Amino acid sequence: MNTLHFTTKGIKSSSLAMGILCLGIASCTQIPAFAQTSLSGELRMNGKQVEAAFEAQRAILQQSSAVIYQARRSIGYGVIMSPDGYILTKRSELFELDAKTKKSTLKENLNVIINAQRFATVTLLASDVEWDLAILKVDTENLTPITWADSTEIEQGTWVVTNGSTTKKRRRVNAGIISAHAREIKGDIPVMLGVGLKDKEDGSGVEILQVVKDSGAETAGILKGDIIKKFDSVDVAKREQIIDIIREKQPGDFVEVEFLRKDKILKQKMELKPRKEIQGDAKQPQNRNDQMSGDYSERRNSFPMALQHDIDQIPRQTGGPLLNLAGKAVGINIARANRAESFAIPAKEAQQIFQEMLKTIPQ
Amino acid sequence: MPQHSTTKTPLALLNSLRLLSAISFGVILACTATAQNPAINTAKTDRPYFNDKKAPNAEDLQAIQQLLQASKNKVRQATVCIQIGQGSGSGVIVSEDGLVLTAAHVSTGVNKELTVVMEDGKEYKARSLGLNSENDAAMIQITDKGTFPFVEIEPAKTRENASTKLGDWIFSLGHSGGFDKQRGSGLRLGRLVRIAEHTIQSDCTLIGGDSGGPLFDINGLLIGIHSRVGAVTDVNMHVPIHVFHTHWEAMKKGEFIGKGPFAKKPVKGQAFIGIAVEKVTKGLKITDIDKDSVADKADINIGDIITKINGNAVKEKADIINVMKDKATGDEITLTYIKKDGTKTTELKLKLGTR
Repeated sequence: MNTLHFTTKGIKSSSLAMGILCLGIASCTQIPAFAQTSLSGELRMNGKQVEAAFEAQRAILQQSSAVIYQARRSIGYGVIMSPDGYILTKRSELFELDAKTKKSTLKENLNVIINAQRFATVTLLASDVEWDLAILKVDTENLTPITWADSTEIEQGTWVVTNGSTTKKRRRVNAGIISAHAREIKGDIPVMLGVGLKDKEDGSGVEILQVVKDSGAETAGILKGDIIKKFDSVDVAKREQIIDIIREKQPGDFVEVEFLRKDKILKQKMELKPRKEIQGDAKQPQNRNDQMSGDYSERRNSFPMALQHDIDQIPRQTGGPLLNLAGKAVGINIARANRAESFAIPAKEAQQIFQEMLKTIPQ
Repeated sequence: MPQHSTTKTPLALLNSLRLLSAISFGVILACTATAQNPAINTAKTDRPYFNDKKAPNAEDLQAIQQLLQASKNKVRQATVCIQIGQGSGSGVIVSEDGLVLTAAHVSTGVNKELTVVMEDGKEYKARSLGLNSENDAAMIQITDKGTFPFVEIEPAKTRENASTKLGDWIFSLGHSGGFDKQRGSGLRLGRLVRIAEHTIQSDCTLIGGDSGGPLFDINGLLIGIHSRVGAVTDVNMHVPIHVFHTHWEAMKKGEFIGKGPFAKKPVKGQAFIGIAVEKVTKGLKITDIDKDSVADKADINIGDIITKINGNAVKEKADIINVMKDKATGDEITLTYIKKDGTKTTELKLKLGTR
């Protein structure tokens, strides 16, 4: 009953766990007439012969993208921002939960290859959790920075090219198109205070409904029933106000919270912790679309602005430049959301955040 | 094709945890009143040169991009999200009066009520027409009045006459994961990588919610409807348009074709009202109503007396049983009954449920 032979050679009868879809398709007897009607793998979207058409873009990735390694395993790519070794990359792939302390920690043994040169020492200079971007630095002088595209609007259907698989010496390309409207990608904020909130109907503040275990809120001793009056020096009456403030914070930041308990006003500093320190980082498929997608980026949503593209990639291939056919970066490739949807932070925002992060680096 | 060795599981593309099947939309006739077969708006015959090159060069990439960008806007307006129960799929309008092509696993049956959502979020009521449960093809008719944007469909009635060939550059649209107004329907580019009698395969990567959505040649001519995927990203299966042509009239008339697997025909004798009755002088008195049955949700209560079913008087339990023998889930019956307090006689139309 290997009935899907006629469309997908490799689908074996073992796949009949989902048998409803392949059983009973009546046309198996027609196989001979169409036996040869299959396009060679080399000619498919990311086949070698199609890849060859993107040699100009590949040459740019060769010199203006960085391969980021944890020891000898590549974990992502980066965008060369300056001749002296500033690299813009995806932040979350640089961190992992420490097995003992359960703290989100910079991965050890990070090193970088640019073109064919390995840099054994790499420093994390700055990071921004809201946009999931970070600046790495290697010690060098002669790199070729990426050229960013001017346009802020990129038409759907525009070819985009980013890093595919790599060897130590040679970068390869992955190609696709801009697939949908640029927009905010909503999702859980990656830092967490650890409270459930509800507006007081009389507008007098925001009530604590719940305090999450191991959160900064719990450590600070805030309790269910307390009413937040002031958050980070702002008078608050709506939970959205608090959420908007948290959105712009970094992990490890403290906020001062003023709250009413019975008839006393109390004041406490509370730590904003990485969400995964509190909730764990087990990446479980959320729905059937995840199940059919394979691996996706651990951080794949909660981006204030993103382009969507259809490049067929794996999570370890994000962080590099997203080029147009002219070889200019229209964005930085930021996440594989599922098999059909990937995201990139647009050129304008990526450059802005880069500049803002530079300002946070101590001289 | 080394990737194929890892292919594992064909998956349907409906965006629903409950329903396991693929979705597609039916094509609408331009001249619905007289046409024996779908009338085709002047089908494009100009075949872009790059389709006949094995691999593109840098210049060809520009040409592909240019045509894709020119084609996508007009066809996007005709690409719709289809909502049915808790699931959602996609579809494409093929006539001005709102005939939609989709997949059988999206419409799930004949004469079902659905909602069609346009790109701008506007919703229209629709009803499923016929389907081909073996090839995953179905038609839906928008029942709200309107003049709808529609796409041109591939005229070829057989695979051999199709205007597309292996390796052609093609693109897909669909409401991946359900309707998202900020995002719009997702555009994906690929090539036609395999052709079989009732299925074509592309490397336009699809996902749940795309089911029933349209596959176009680079000029925007409708050549297929999304059906299912394999575990590898270049295994995306579509129903070729000639399958729709073959069954066009039957589907338009609302026929349920084939025995699955993409849709299940309701079985006669398995429909259920959800009442227990006893014989009384005037007819049959309701003694119990099953919780959550169609009777439970309708304006009918214990103590009411049924006097007629479909206009025919009922005296014995067998009178109801005989009618129900020929009914399937989703069929309608009309009950005439006297309210418990004897005040009035009421007629009630019931859509039958499943036990």
